[in-house]
Amino acid sequence: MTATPELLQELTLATLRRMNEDLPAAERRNFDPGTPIIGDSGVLDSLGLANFLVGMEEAVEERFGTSVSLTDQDLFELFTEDDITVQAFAQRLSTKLQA
Amino acid sequence: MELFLVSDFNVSNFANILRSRSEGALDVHTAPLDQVVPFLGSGGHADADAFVWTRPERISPELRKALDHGVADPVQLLADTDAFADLLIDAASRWRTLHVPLWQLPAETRFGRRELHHSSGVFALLLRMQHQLSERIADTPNIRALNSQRWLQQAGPTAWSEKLWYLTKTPFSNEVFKAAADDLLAGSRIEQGRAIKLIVLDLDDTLWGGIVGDDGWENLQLGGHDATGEAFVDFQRTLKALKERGILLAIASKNEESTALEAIAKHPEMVLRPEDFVTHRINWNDKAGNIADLLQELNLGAQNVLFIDDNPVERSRVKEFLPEVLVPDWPTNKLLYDRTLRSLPVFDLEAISTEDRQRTRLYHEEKQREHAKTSATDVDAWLRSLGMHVTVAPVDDADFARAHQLLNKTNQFNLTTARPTEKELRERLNDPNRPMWSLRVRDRFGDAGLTGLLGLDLTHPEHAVITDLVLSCRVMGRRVEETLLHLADAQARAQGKRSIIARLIPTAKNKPCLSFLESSGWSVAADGPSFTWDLSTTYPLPDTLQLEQRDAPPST
Repeated sequence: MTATPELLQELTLATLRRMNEDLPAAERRNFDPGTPIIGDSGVLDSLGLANFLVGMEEAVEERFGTSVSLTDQDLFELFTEDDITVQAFAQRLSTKLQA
Repeated sequence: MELFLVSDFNVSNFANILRSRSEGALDVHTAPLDQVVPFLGSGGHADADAFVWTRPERISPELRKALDHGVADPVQLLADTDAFADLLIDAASRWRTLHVPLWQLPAETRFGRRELHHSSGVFALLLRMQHQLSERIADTPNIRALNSQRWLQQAGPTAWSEKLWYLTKTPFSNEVFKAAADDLLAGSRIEQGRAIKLIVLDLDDTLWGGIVGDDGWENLQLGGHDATGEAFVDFQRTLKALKERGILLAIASKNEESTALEAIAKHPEMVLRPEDFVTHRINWNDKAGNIADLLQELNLGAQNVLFIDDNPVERSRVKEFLPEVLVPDWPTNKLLYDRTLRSLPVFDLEAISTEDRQRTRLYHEEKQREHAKTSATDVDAWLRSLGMHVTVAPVDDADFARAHQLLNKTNQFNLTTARPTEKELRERLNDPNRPMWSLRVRDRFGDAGLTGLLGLDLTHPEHAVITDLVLSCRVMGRRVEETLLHLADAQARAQGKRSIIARLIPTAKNKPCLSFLESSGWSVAADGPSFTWDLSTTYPLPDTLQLEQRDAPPST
């Protein structure tokens, strides 16, 4: 199965929503493709970001049978925007996976 | 309840999971990272719990040496463990309860063929640390060692997360934290009086394989040289063991009653027999309605009930109709029934009392009493026909476990619903100004055991205050309530008091206690549920029973 931007966006949202289940009700957020997740306006704090990246690595491996490394590099070398939305994250991740 | 997480690693994910799973019941705080010794050594919160989760290599540098393939000094390793035990024991006096998970090393770590060598192997050294710590804290009742091995097993191969460790100093995946949270919350559920007291079971494809009405009891899948049959026997064995621990078993099944009961009585491989079930509803009625009916018969709340049924439709119906009943998802694979039951973190009884072990018999006796009641012309005549005998004695060590359990589990007839820890109760019993008495009730049908408690505060010169007025639902409505007030009268009078005050703290469940006090003849305060008895008049002892006062509880 090809890791298209659409499939990766779906996977990203699913990972974020799964993370929500481990948070107290008051801290849960609604995520959509336009939600900034990383950067100055990003909704994830440093722990949330770490949980997200680890969760995405596992989800990509499970869904596409390929391993991707997001936790051992500076994300801003991969993503050049200041604020990375769900949609932008999925787009760049798709490019990385297909490279 | 307030809970402080004290750890030498990052527990922020654990804190979030606890907040999420407790739905606001836990007020979770995290102590500064890796400040276990200064945090526990410098203070505490008498009304709060601490969860002290450490890594063994941080407790003893000797273990770190062994992990690095160096030579560890076992004597120093145990001295380090002792120092940690001393810290915990000292801190326990300042906290309500300390929860201490046992230590773990990553299971996949290999340390060569000598890893279990008694004096130098890493795993052998860890076992010695565990043993030493368990032994040292065993006599401190408010330190609870927790089996973290189970949490790691539940989480499986992803229990340890190197990625989260290097990124955030969190060694475990969230699956481990979820299992730990469930264990902790199970204990909290019990402290809140929500321990499971009754398991309601379906029969076909739940207690045995097959449909008894179609297949006949001789052809049920149960025991024999058959994998599924053996699995059902093991499942029944676990249920029987729970029954021996005081959990009641009942049946709610859509079947012909006589057919189902014949199978239970006659099938040679049945582990559970008719006398193991406290009651049953075997008919074609709505199962949720049947369970509600069972609860009424047994005088139990829905929050104390576990319902097991292989049929998801029935489970869904019961969940909807009785949302407080615990209805776990049940596996379709019958070989997993026993493990699923064993893994439910709801049977964590603090202490098993004689009354627990005999609970099914006690309920059967109660049924006989109810039968006698229907043939008596009035309630007092019925009560006299029971030949009731109440024994009163100060609560002492022999009574301690049952008294603690009664205070922590009783909801309906409970003046304040105070839930003391063992430590708090022991302190309380050592205070001569706050005596407490136990009541044991027996009659011609059997012995209900320790079923009532009365606590008084005698510090005021003029009046006594009832601090504890607790009665098990097993003996409610048999005028033991009046006996408790008579006892309060006698004890306060002996201390030269002029009146007794009972201040009820209302809860959603202690209305029976309120109703009794309202009709007891005590005067009611205008501004709240506070009741007073003027000791110029003696509160009478009911003439339907005999009262015996002792200086110490009778031996059981």
